[in-house]
Amino acid sequence: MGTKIIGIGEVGFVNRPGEIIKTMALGSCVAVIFIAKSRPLIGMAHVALPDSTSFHERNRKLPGYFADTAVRYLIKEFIQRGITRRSDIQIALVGGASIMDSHGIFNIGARNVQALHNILQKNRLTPQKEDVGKNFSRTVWAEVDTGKIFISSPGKEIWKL
Amino acid sequence: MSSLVDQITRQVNDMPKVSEAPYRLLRAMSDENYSTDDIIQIVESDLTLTTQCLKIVNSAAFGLRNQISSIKQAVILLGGSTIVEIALSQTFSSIFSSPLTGYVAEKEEFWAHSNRCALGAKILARKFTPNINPDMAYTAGLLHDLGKVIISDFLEKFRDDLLEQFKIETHIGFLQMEEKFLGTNHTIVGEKIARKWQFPESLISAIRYHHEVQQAPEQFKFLVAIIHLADILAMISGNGTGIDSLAYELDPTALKLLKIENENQVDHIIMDIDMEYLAIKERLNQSMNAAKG
Repeated sequence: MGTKIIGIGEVGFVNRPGEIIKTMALGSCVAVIFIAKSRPLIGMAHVALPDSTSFHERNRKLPGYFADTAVRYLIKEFIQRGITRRSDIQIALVGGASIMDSHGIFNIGARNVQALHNILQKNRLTPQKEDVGKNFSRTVWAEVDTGKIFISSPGKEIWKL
Repeated sequence: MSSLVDQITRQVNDMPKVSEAPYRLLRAMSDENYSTDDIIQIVESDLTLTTQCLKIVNSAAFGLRNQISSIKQAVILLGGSTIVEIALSQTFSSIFSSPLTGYVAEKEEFWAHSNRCALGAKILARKFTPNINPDMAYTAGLLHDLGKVIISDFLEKFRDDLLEQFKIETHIGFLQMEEKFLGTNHTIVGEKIARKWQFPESLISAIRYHHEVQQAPEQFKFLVAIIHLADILAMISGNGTGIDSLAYELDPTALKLLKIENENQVDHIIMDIDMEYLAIKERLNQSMNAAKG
């Protein structure tokens, strides 16, 4: 039984019995989680910024750093792994917190969430579950065996999404 | 019975003063015109610091082919901010590595937050304020939350009540929460510690006003603005110090001072900090693997 940790900007997948996929301390970053309904497969990206297009240099090792590149990568990998029907994918978004500056330019969390909604919609996908926004940091993990998603945050009890 | 504030002040007064080198380094570096010779002299005067600097510059992480045995070369190669970090971690290692239990932060979280803020401050200084030495900004970033060390123990006594209230009153910032429960906050206590340890005024201002840029003395406003934003950027990146993470207000004065006007600028700052952070981490991993192999 192993736990795969997804660092900032990374995308990872788990498919073996007992495996867990986890990303830690999401501030304004958002974890995008793709869960296959028909077989044991979970993909997770740790998104830091909403849009790759204004950046000339991108780190190829970090396809999950931007909302647009992360979603494209997750879709591509799911198709390659044989998940071709949209209805077979369950999507969750977790994170996207903000500092107490709800309308200002530092509201990266909300912008990340919005960007993810847009790019998913362009691909005719919708997140079924979300735990986003507010002003606390989250750690999230998902279990291959059950497809369940759990969240923790300092000073709070663990909760199930 | 003495008031909580009195008890906190007493605790500050009881903090031990340790080796001289870090203080001398901090004072030297807060001077805009400090020279490498000043740093070399301070490092040379402290045997432990000399040994540490040579050890690090000769470690696999540095990837140098030849062994360095001169302090002068070591200081030039390491750079001011690394030397301050070595000196501070040596002196304050017990402080930075203690879990801030009152904030529900685990061991190492405080150091990780301070480090991330320091890195952000250095990058912001490089990008936006030609008059502020990036090494100085780095140092201020490392030390900005010093007051939490003392505050944490006192907050712990009220932790359950505090968590309960914090759940209900989500619009209240954590600074006000500290004041509500303790009658003081981590920036005021931080200032007391900084004064006791005779930190330079620039550093004292960064510690005292990093949540209230507008209140900072005019001559240190830019440095304080940098620390304010670097602190927020560290929290946004997920490197906070527990329950208070993200529970602070952004002071728009900081954005005005640094002329940060749009979201695109903010995104580029975040990416710059992330990439530099990941590069440092990668170098560390490589050196650890090299040490193992």
